[in-house]
Amino acid sequence: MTLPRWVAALAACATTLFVARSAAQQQPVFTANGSGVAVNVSVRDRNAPVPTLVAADVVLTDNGVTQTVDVEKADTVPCDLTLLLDMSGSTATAVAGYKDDVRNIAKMLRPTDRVCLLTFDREVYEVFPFQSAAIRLPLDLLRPGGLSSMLEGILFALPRAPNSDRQHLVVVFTDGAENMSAIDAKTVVDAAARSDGLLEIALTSNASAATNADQSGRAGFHFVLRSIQPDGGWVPILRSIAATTGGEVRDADKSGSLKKTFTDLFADIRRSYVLRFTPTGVAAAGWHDLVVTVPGHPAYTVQARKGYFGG
Amino acid sequence: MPIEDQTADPLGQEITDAYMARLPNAGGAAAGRPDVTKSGVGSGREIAFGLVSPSDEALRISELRNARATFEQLAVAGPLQADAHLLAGVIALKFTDRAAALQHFAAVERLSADQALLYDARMLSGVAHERRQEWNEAVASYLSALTVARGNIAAARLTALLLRRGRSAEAETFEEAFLTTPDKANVNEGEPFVDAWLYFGAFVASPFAGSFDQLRKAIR
Repeated sequence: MTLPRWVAALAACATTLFVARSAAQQQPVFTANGSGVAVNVSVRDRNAPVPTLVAADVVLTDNGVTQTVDVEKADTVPCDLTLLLDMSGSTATAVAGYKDDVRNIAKMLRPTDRVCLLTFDREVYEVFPFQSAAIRLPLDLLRPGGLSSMLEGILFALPRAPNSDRQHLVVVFTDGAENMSAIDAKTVVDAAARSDGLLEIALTSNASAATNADQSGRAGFHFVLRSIQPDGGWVPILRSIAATTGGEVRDADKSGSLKKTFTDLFADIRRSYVLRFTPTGVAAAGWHDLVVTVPGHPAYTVQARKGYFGG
Repeated sequence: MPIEDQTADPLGQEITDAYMARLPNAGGAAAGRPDVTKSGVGSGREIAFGLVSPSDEALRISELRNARATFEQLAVAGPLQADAHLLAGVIALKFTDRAAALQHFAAVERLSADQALLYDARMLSGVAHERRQEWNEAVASYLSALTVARGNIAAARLTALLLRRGRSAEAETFEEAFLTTPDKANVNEGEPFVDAWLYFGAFVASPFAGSFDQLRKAIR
């Protein structure tokens, strides 16, 4: 058996990886363009975004050391949006709606924003790479079917080279059913915690699939992989994965439609903030725990990623 | 237990000394039960995938030790050397004997050109290196596995490893190469090649089915 295309792609990839490794290890997150670490922060007073936050309001600690931050409104920062659609069989009735929602979401993006589309069923596929949302999106060929590698899909949606000039937003449409991934949830949670993206999950109807451990059609090897189901199904795990990036799981059923869900989501994101700082007083290498607070308003809810990896 | 820890790792959990100490029949299991003589592929694979009840665990671990000894004997010579090395390596990995596991997987490389065996040996070498915190060796092993076959486990573990080590630029480079090379480009006798280790666990249309039959005969 020969694998010319795949071997060629991997050989090129491997060369790139090994050549790039030393440089990447030296500057994986910050100082990529001299502007330091960028952290997306959402601040709410009850359910309403706080519209006017300034640097003096915010305290950010990096491994326990208070940093000097600049505060920028997120609506001025271009966004790279990765859409990840669940195309497994359990979502068959939702796919037409997915396509409409993707088109509607694309209309919400600005000229400086970009979008790419991944899908998953048993496997994960790239439908199109990052491109302007203004061009026609090739969604017609999407067909649902098969098992669900939801965790793998989320994992493959996360990687982005550090770029503090663009936000990376990952939005997952799923009914929360999982039965085929070749990786465990803890690994995905850990990977999400160390990615630069903000992960938001739109939980669509048929969410019972996410809490029912014994779905119809379960046979063969996914019995082996998923013979142990988490207590309470997959939704708490999705919440854990999203929360570690500063994001959350949004219930599309409660909000009435995904269009409204995403209108709200984009409004929230554009009313959020990007904090920028150059780490001082901490060792550059290794994992950095981040804590963001608004001391003058302890009742505010602050959402931000939990940390980053230094070089 | 954190909710994330409740999902099954497709490779199965390790049997550590601390884990053994918590078992109700830990003494017997640790010593190897002299009354247990049954060993073979069946018991080994069930334990490897965690398909046993906790009450049976100590007994099954004893069987697993016997299975490892059997595979190590079969690995010395004969037509099943490569298969036996792979299985002995899997069990060694499960018992946290990572150096021995790597030696078994290296032997598979020397003895076989079988695509499924090579993919598994290289992918599992990546797992062993990860558990030894040899990150660059783990990356190299996963990439090496992926040059044999487009396997989900190697791809997912490589992506996760790169992200967890703060190498997100490399993770993105790899992920783009992987996702833009569809499995249609990677076919074996007209069928997409699905991760050999997943099929190993499924025992359904497994590329290892023939080896299992031969191993059973050899063990008898």
